[in-house]
Amino acid sequence: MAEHHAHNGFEEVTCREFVELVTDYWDDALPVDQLELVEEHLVMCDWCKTYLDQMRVTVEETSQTVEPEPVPAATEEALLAAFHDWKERS
Amino acid sequence: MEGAELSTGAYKFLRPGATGPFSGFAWPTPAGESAGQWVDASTTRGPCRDGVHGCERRHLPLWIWEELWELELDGEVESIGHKLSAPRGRLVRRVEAWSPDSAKDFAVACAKRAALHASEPLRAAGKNEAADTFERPADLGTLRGLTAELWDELEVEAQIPMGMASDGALRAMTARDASDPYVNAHGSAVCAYIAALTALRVSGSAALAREREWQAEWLGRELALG
Repeated sequence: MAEHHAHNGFEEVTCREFVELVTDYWDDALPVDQLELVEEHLVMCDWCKTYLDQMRVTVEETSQTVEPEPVPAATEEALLAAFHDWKERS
Repeated sequence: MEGAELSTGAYKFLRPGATGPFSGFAWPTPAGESAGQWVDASTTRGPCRDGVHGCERRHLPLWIWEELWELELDGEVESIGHKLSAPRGRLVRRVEAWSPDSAKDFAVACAKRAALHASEPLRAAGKNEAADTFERPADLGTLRGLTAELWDELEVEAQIPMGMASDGALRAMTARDASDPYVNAHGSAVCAYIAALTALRVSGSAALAREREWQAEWLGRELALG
């Protein structure tokens, strides 16, 4: 999970951090203090608000139009490896 | 903290149609003299399921959207950070004084506050005439012009706050001249943020807190909040 940005005693979430937090935000998985920083950022930031709106539409549309299918084991393994590698590098 | 102590003096900014800005929840609005229906946190969706949220007057500048409502909270009310959270709440009345026009006024007031904060390092840099203008700007366009004129002459200590104030002036002019309530409200939120960050940059976190207090007092006074 991304750490939020703090300078001179003032804490805020940046756009870059929001992009990393958006899934947790959507899943209601953020701790209360981080949730507040995210929402304060959304009040200010048109770009992140638009990004969130696009995410919301995408999730709603795909949940109605795409039939859930089981993920083949090899695909799951490859995806997990890719995510793990990405986390290691970031 | 008990609900009875905090149920009055709670507010909620909402999007048009009394819609939650984060949840998308359409709040039941008051009918005539009657408050809106009670809303339980469990009936909302998205990241607000843990409680019905509002804020105290002192935190209003952080949560600005197009509509402002007085909110009654019920049950155990918690003050968490810049929010109030309770198991349920209802809209009591809309604060009609919060309008596109008052949002424009707030945007301009906050832009002038940012300029006031930026005047200090300008004076310290020996730019007294510019500092006088930033302290009491006749119009916001002057701040933009002066910033462009002085930019290359200044060290970063004066340059950055001046640039922030200039950005605030631009955002306030955009908000002031727009006929879209979202642009008016969002512009005022951004100008308030810029004023707070300029205060932080010039004088530290205590100044940021004082700036947010000033903004909340402005809203309380101009909107005649109880």
